[in-house]
Amino acid sequence: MDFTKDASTVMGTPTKSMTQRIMAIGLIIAIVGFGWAGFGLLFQSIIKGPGYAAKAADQQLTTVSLTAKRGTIYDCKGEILATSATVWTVYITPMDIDKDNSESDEQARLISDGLSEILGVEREKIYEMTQKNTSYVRVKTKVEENVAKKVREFISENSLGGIIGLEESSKRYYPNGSLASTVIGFVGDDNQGLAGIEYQYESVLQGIPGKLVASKNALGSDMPFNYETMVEAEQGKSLVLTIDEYVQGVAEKYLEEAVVSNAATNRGCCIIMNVNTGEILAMATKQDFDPNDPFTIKDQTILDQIAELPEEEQKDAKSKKIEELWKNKAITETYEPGSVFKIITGSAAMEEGKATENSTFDCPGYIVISGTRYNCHKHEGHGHQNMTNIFENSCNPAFIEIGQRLGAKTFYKYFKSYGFTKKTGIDLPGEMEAIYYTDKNMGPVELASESFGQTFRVTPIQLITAVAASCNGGRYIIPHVVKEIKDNNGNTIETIEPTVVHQVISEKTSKAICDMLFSTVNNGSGKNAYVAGYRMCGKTGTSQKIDKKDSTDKIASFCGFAPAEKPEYAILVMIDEPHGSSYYGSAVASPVAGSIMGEVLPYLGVEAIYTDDEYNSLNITVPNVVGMDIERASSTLTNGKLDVRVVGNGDKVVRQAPAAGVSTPQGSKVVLYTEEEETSKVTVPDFSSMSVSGVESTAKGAGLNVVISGVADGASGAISYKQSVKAGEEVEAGTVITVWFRYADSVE
Amino acid sequence: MKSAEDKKIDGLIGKELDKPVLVSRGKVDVVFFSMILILVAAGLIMLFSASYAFAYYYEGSSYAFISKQLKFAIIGLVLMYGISFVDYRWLAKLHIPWILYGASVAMLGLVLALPVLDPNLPYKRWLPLGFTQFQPSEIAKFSIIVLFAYLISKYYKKMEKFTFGILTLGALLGIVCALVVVEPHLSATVLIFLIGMVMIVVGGAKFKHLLTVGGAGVGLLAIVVLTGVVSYASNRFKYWIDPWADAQGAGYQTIQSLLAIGSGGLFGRGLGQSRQKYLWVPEPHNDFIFSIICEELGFIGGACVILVFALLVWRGVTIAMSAPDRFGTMLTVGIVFQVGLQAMFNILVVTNMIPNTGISLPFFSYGGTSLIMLLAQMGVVLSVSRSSAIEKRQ
Repeated sequence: MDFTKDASTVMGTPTKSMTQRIMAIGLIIAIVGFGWAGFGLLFQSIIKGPGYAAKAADQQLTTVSLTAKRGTIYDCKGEILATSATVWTVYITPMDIDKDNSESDEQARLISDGLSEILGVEREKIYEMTQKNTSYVRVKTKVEENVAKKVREFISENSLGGIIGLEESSKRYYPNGSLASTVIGFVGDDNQGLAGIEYQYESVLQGIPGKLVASKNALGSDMPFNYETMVEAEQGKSLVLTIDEYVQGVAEKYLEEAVVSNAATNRGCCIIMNVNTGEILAMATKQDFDPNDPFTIKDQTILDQIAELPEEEQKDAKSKKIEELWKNKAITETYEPGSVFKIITGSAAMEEGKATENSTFDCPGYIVISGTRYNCHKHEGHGHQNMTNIFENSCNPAFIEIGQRLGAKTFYKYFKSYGFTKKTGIDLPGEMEAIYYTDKNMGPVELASESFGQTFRVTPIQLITAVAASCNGGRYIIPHVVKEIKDNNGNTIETIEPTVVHQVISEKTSKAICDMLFSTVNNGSGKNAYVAGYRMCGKTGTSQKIDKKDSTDKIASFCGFAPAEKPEYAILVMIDEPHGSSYYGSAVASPVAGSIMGEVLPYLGVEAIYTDDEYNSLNITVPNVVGMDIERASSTLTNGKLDVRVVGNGDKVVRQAPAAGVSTPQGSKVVLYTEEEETSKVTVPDFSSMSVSGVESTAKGAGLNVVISGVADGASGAISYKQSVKAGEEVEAGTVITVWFRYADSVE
Repeated sequence: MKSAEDKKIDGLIGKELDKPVLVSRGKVDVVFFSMILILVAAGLIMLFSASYAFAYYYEGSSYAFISKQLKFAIIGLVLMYGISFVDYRWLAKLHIPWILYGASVAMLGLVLALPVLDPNLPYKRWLPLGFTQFQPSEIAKFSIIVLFAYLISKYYKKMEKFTFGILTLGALLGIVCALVVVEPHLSATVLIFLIGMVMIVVGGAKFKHLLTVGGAGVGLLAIVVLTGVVSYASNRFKYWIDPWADAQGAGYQTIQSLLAIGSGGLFGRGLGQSRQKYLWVPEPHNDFIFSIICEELGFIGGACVILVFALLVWRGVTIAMSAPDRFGTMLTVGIVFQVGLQAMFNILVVTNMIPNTGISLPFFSYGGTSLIMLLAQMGVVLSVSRSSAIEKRQ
């Protein structure tokens, strides 16, 4: 190419048009170009910036949750009812398992074989997990430390670091098994409370999980240049319950026995409450469950019942039953209180002046209200009675009359005042409301049946709270099961004080009720609840169920308190649908209450005051005479109001029966052995269905000592129904056997 | 026809300066020189910050990139200073413009031929030199500037003629652009094309002609797009509008860039505090280094960078207009506008104002040969400044 024709010198200065165009383009680049770039920057960093920043944080930060240790649950004496320990969750990251080598699938097999062996999870199940394409699959939760250690070894041996992982979590332990299970409740897989206290106090117990916020790079690993924020987990707070492990244990022991021996088909419950504070010392439901393994039925009777069902129904029946066993019968189920409710009717009438201690009632065996005839359980009638008598006799016509005197409006006023129209507010989940007639829809007939506790339903906790109010001087106190909340250093954060809501009846009326109910236990329908020295008061109940066609499905109950002169503790025992030898509250529930209070009241430090008769028949603790010569041993024992029988020809006592420390009635015979080889065995006779004197003489004849339980010594009419050592067993002469009695004649 | 003034200037200095001196004795433009030093220093600091996590993970040492870049920067600065003493007019002598252009075209051809020899190469952009590799398009860019500066200043009177101003120069530019676009290297093509066009416009081409060609160009572009020659570019267009349409794929780089800029806000996280550089922004030391600057130094920091580039262009224009001859003017204009346009395009890409084209940020992005090339060209501008009439006119 030849440009030379028009060529000018290269070195000439720029033309005017050149400089103008340079300026113009320069301005375009500077203003339009960089202005546009500046706008882009402004737009993305300031206008859209906050949104982008949040998205960036989402991808950059990983949050590792640090589990908070769940608070411990203690009984009122500091015994542990529920506690947490560290366990591990084993998980895998199937996404990262090498699946390219699909023919052999080596890694997946290695993992499923290894973990199956260590964790005891089915191999096929784990293999299925490895085939997923997710980043997190739990293989097993709540793996204990020793097993977790094996998993860690397996990981390091096979370099499976990114694929198998362990996460710290905690497991809940209930050292007493099923004890108070329906109150304490249980936790789920994530340690979340699912029932009972565990559920109710979830926010207190669970604590606040901590967080470890770490930045990560696009590969998912942590950055070497640290950016980490740690928020420490706040440990859960602990609870101190009003429940007393010992009292609860005693209540459960007798309740379970009663549910089994009376063949109750709808469980039973028992509540023990401090009438002056509203504290619940025991709340038992039987049958119940083991919170360590809440999804398994352990009761053999229930399992047998399910096994009898057609196979296709078994699974449903099982899960239905499990849920039923979780329920705390004392608060989640309503029932007809029956004659126990007469305490309420009676106290209302006395408070209103519609009846006094001296009021008299005539019972011809029935009463007719608005054309409806109500029979008394005693068909020939109780005849002439005073106020105390009608409690002792549990006379329905008399209480119907009292109800009519009160009228629906006033009756309902007390019904409401005693707390039956709303939940008690106890700090447990699932409390039910009562089902009842209000004064608006309550006619004379409804009033008549409600007067003696029928045709309406309340919860056991409502009833015992009302009875507590009737005997504690008339104060309605909200029941509660949590006494204190403590931090994890054991410092008390909160103490739950008794909440007195209002006065229901006067102290005077309350005192009168105590006296009458004392008499009811001592002379009347409640006498099976008698406890020597502890002045038990109470009322039995045998209720018909409105919703049950089968008239044999009754509820036997007892609600009472002690001691009479200044009540401290109330007890309610309710056996739902007993199908044993009796369904009466007096025969089924009262002895249970008596047995429980007999063990519990001394433990609780209630002072025993004995009548002369009671004092004379008080049991004696056998002293130790082993090692003494015969003469001294004999005098020690006889001075202690015990009899002596010597076996063998030695000079010194080598063994004694009963052994030292055993409690036995006065005048019991202590057998002293003077030679090692010497024994005197006797066969335990069958003590069932005997009177007290019959049992005493039979025992004497057999060379055994007996403790009479359930009735005052020498009481007539009581029949034995249970003995502590089975008939036919061989025992040493002098062994102390407890025999329980109850009155068979009492009804209602 | 020469104006009287032209003749006068030719007579006074033109002939005198017709023979270039070996060493330029004038004073270097201190403002321009300082701005370059500021940009190089800021570039090195930001490169270190942006690259160290990436270098740590992929190179095994946090210093892998910065140590290399530092060496290149020192070499480049020394070279720049050296070149500033050499009279730029040597570039118009000894057929250097043509030799440069010929060599560029040859290398661009060679790059395209390389994949035939080694089919594993993904792109046809790099020429291996044994010890290093470089992009012939960088050389081509410079060769266009030198050739156009030479031709326009020498034949400026013919610029108004369609055959010379549009056809001849357009053909020379078109050959280079065609070779670069099939690499494919769209951003470099656009940049070379724009620099060429800017020089043609400044050189005095008629707007009537330019409009005619512009219309034809648009038509040609339509054909190219329709025939799918640059189909990958049309994909880029799609993910420019909505990068979240393929957040893990084609839109990933843009998204990560925007997240970094957004995280910075007004004042930034502070120098060294970027989190997006932890492998989130792919190759944070390369084309997207501006996003890390914004994350660490915020809108304020990003705006300062834009301002410095704008000032650099302004100062470059001043130098160009006070150059003693047209060749110096055109050379400076070409070089300075090239840097300005490249910075502008890079920031527009990083802020997602235009589709992602893969263009680096001068002085900041990692890359040895391009930094040395850049600083060498800055040396040429400084050389012009030494000979300029700035002082004389003051």
